[in-house]
Amino acid sequence: MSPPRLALWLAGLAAACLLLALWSLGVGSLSLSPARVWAALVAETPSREALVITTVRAPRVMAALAVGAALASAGAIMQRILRNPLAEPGLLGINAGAAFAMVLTAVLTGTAPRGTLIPAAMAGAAAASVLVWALGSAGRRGATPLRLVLAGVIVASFLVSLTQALLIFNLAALDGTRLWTAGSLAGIQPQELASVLPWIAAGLLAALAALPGLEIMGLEDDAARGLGIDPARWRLIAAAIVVLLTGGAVALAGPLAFLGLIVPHAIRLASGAGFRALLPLCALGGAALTLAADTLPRALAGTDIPVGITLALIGAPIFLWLARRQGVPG
Amino acid sequence: MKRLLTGLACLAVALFLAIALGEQPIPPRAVMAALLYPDEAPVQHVFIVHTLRLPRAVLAALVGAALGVAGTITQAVMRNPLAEPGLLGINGGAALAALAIMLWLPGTSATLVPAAALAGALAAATAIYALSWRGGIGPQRVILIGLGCGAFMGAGTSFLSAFGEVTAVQRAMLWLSGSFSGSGWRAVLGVALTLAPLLALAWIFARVLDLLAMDEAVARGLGLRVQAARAAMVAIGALLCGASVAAAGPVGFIGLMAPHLARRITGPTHAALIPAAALAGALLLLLADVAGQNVIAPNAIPAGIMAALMGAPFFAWLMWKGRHDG
Amino acid sequence: MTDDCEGLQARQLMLSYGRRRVIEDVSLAVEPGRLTIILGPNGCGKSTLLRAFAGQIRPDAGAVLLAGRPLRHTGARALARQVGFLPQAPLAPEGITVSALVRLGRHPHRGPLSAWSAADRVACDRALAATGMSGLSAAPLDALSGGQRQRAWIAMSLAQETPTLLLDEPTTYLDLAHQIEVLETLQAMTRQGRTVLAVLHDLHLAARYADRLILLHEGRLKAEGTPAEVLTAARVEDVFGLPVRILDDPETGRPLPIPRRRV
Repeated sequence: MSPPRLALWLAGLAAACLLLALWSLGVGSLSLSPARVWAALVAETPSREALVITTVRAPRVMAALAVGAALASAGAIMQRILRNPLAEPGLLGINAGAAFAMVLTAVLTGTAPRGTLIPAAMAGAAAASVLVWALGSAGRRGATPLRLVLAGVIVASFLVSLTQALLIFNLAALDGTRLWTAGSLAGIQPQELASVLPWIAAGLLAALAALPGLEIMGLEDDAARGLGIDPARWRLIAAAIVVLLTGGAVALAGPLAFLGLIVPHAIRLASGAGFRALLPLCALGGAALTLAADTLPRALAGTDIPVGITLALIGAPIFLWLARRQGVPG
Repeated sequence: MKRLLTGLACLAVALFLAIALGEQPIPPRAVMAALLYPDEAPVQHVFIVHTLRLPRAVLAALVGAALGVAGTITQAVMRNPLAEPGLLGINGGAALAALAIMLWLPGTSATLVPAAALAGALAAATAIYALSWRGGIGPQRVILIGLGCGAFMGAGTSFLSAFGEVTAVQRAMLWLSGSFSGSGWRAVLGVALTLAPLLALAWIFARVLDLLAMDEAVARGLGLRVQAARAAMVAIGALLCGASVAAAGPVGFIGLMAPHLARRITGPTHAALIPAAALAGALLLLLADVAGQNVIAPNAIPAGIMAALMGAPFFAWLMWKGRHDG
Repeated sequence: MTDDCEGLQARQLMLSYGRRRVIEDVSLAVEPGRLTIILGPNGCGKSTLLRAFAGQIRPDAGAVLLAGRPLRHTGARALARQVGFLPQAPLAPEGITVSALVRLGRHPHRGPLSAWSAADRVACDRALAATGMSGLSAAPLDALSGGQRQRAWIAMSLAQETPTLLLDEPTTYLDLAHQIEVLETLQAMTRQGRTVLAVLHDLHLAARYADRLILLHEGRLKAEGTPAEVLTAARVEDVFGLPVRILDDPETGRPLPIPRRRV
């Protein structure tokens, strides 16, 4: 993608994020226009409106942006290193690990507040991905895409089934976790966001730093080796970045599979970007999309629909339109 | 041939276990007696064997075989080893339709839910196929469209699960995990009549699947009408999967793993692969059902969940064992 | 070129690849029983022309005829019994063995329910022998060298037992010894009476082995005839942008284009 075009896309998406943030901060029982939001934020003396914005709404807005950026970028990376359009962060067992840890904690401790569930979910996500990696990289040729994916499917199937088994027999746990399972940002507390943000930030920075190597990973292993890249090591690096990005994001907001799986395809179909441009575009696009999806139901109808559902409901038709229009080679 | 006989022998053993184990375990000799001489064996045994356990076991084996073959077909047509019938939206459509019925019309379950599931499954598959059609269908596009539709249907299911009445949701989860409880001979007969011709058709078209799994230009050069063949095989796979979902609820994992397991034993040629996948799927699901009923008795774990719980470590072990094969 | 021509013909053919017009008004006849090679610079439409001859793409205008009959009136299976087609760098499923691959070549001759016949077995054995792959029939395709793999694919096409065989760049990625092997196999096939039409990009090999050459340039037929007739220094420079000197190959007497040194 030519630099001017990329700059245009990046600026456009960044502006969209900013405008969406201003709009979203104004949505709620105390309705404010974006201009008033801006005024309240930059005012010298903090007004009552500014208080509502910063303590109640800002965490949710920032969470949406962070989670969207993290999951969409992670999806782009997964599809690159596994060279498979079906790849998404969940394949490393992250969603399954987080869900299982969360449900197990809920079952063992009665209904636990989100505060204790988030570290458990992150630990579960990390543990599951370590397991997937260990299984997938055992062998002479190391972690080939096919082995990693198979390992991921095996571990994820196991954990998902275990989780389902627990939920079938424990009504309280089901009730306590089903909103998270649908992918929801409701009731995010600043501390929860703070515990997760450093990981996401670290992941995004690492992803940017690793761009050159990740770009080469799109080639066949032999071609990559010829360019001085060790495919096995870089798959490990990429997987670690993905876990950094998504562990916290999923723990916070639930398994938003749509972001990691479909946003990279959608952005690629819409912009024709190569990988180097795709990654930052996915980050910004994912952030904007998540924020829009989280805010729209509240702004239009006053109901709080879990962001995972809205994302899929509005995103899927757009994605389908793109996939049909572009004439993807059969 | 030797491997086929070994496989059939394993299946026979699994069937035997399914009949012998349970809340009231029946010793092997009594099982044989109940099977071979129903008029002379104790009435209680005959009841348990012929009315409760045998139909259920046969159904589990049939559904497992159907899923194994449907998975093989999907992987050949999509030319992607990650593909499974769920890509065609079948499980998603069935789950959404069934969940809706179970939550909005509770108590009408028995016949309405399977019918809704089948309708949902076939509607989803048709929609995905139609949306992918652009002078023909290509694997890449179907995969993407399947993803999009799957996400859409998943949103619907998510919504229903998150906001439905929680005990109804829990009960629905049981069906959605793939379960064979309460299956009688009528269900078995219906399923067998549907599945048998489909399985036979799949086997007859084994060579077509070989060609579909190959380079498209080569297949066309060998005289295959690629688009027509793809459509026909997808239809067979969708029907196999749809019938399975209607009978037992959505069971994942087997459609993905049975073909992989079978391929290790027979290689990629479908004339041998299809029967092997059928056997593998039947064994997996049957053993899962038996284990699910007996492992934490008197509670029962749905077969679908058990299949993944048992199958995943088994495949992990296979992967670990074969790690030096490269 | 008359209507009762036995082999493949193109009549005022116009072909597109996507939205780009690639072949403009090409008419020619493929001489039966001979090795004909299509030559030309990259992007001139060689592969597209070959695929049209194979019936794999439909012409925008004009027609491809086989024994006087347009291809589009010929059923896929009937066509597959007359014309075999091997694309460039074909993909095969993982783990397939050479013999399983070759057996697939019998597909046009077998109905869905027909059993494996003696004729099928003979055809496969003959194909394996002709390509020297009999000893490797049980080997998985992935485990073979580039040259052996290519010969396995050619064996599959041979098992199809078609009078005409079309091959798209059958020598890509092969080392010189294997390239010669493949071309000698193709030559041997023509001596048995088959018609072979291949796309090659190597001028030297084409000049050495072809009975007839078809030279394409920017989608049009530039020249057609024996290698000596087609490969003149002026024409090579015009089409390929490369000044050459044409020598006589000391081994075969065929034209040997030698690129001139840049001054």
